Amino acid sequence: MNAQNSERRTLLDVVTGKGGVGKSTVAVALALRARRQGQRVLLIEMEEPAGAAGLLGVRPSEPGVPTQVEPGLFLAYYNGEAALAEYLERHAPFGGALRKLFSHPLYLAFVHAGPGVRELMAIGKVRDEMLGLATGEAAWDRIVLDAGSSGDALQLLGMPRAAARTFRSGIAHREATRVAGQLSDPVATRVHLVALAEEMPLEEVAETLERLRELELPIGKLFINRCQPVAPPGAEEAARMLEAWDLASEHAKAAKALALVARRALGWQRVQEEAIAAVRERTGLGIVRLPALHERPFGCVQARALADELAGALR
Amino acid sequence: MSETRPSLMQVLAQHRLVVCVGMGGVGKTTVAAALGLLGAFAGRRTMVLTIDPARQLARALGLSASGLDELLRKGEEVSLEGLRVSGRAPTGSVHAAMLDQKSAWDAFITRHAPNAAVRDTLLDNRFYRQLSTSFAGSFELMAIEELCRLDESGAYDLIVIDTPPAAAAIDFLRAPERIAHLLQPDVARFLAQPYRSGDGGPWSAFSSLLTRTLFRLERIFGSRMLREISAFFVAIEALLGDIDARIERARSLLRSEQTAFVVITGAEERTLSDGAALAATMRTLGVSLRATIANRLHPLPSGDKLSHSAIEALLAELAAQGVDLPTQDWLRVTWRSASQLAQWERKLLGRLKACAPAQMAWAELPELDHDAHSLADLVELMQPLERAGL
Repeated sequence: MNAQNSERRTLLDVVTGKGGVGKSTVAVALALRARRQGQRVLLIEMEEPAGAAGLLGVRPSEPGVPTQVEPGLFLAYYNGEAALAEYLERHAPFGGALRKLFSHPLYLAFVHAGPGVRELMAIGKVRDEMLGLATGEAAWDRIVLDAGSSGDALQLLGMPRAAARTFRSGIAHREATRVAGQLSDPVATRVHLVALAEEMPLEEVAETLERLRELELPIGKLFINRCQPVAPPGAEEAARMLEAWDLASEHAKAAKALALVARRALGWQRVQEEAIAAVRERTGLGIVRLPALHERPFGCVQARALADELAGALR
Repeated sequence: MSETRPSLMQVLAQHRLVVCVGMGGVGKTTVAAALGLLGAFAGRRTMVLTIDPARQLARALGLSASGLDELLRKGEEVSLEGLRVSGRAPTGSVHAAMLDQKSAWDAFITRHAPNAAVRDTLLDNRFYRQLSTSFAGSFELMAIEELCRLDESGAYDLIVIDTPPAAAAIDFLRAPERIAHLLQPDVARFLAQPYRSGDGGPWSAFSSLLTRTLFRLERIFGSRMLREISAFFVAIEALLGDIDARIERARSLLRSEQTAFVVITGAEERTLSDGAALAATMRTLGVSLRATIANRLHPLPSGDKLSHSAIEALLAELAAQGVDLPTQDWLRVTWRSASQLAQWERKLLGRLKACAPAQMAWAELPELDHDAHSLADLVELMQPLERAGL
């Protein structure tokens, strides 16, 4: 990318949701989709290479350094401690004394003890990457951040504001204020939620959403993962026929098994539709349904199939 | 029968504390509640403590939604009135409680502070407030502290605790060490010292280095936060002896013979491999895993014997009886995905079970056909747990 293009804004898509709902899968699918539209994309995981690294079969070897998945698509993981070290090296005018500082027990105690310092540095690094501060040019059209479970994500996304209040002065205050501004910029940032169409996870969505709104973060879509296909009108009647099947007749064994399967599918479908209707009414979010894929093992092929479903989901 | 594993009931009978660990989304809270119910049916006075801030457990136990937080915090007996399972009534009881991290810390400080001045200094300290709400491990440490207190109270003979998800399950075990490390007298004194006057202490030789380091950190973080941290460590010093003793107690309780760790896993590649990694880490931390519970298994309709042609023949018969094409397709797809998924899950679990040490109990729970959130759902899950390994 040449210098003239660096004026182009980098978009940030943050993905969060309860554990086990498929956040990483959605983050990977979003990244793949954006890549397919010709964008240069960086996908970021927090703390350690995790779900996305597993799905894409790429494992970045050190924190903060993007690894190419395919041309134009990169994966990185950010870890707060490394981000803090890198930040200090870049911003703080310490020169050669730095190494001494990093190994100083007081510094270590502070980094381990100072709640939020690591989160602040990690999210600060995401901002740096959006603005191309490290390299002098914005290298990405889009950054997709897999921010972990809702609790972790709220901590990560809320930290700049909290830090701006806690550190009343100093470099940390200034930086925290800037990062908070970037995160709440409605042009640049969207925070997406991922959930399953079950009652309890959706209840958590509503709670998370409330907290995100308190933080004044721009909200994107609600991805409802593993949706069952909608049953045709005749399904209920067919299930009843199967349940009433004459057990002495031909096909009895198949009818019994199919009745069980059909009844369960209808049961979950009711849960699904009620939950989606409830969350739509309660949150007013734009909902994107992603289908349940039953082929196993679940891997990159499935993530690519989900990327196909995301046509309208990206800005 | 070549099965030499203990049954899950044996594991419950031999332990007083059951710690449920596992990745997010595997249904730990629900399984913990079902284990609690099982305890009540085995005649034990049971406590289920959840540290999941969500309200699942309350719902699973059928506690009312009004004033729920209050009610859970105190611990509430779950009404099992009229409950019969295969004609049996529970002879024990189940209580449920939810941990509130902040008030647990405040109560802890209040219990151990030598006087009101120290207590108030700590409770008002900004650094303490962050520590007690967001420092990694502080939530877990309080959970273990509450576990110790429940244990010491003698009011229960079975305590089931539900831990926070994911890597946090390991944090749960490391929490005592981590907080101990943070509060170790050397570090505490070290952090407290520069803002105390006239006290050279063991660090005086380093004071010029200290001053320089602090000056640098101040430029980054502002001086106020450092002053707060220092004030925290000055005040906490009076409690360090007590805290140390409690941490030691927590550490030994987690590793005692009365405590059983139970891994809850889903039947997906990710949760299974994470579960296996968790188990390995736990072994290195010196705790013993007593059982694996595989949750939310999709049922294998009529075994795996049914062929696709048998289903196709049935579908043809349904067509003859007037079932329309979209419905046939839906039945076919539903059938195919259900059997694919069920077979895959069994294959994965078979692999995991083959690696599980023989002294570990093994249980499998079916996926219900709706969200589990009533007492009746828990009874449905309790029964396979009761039969597991028999």
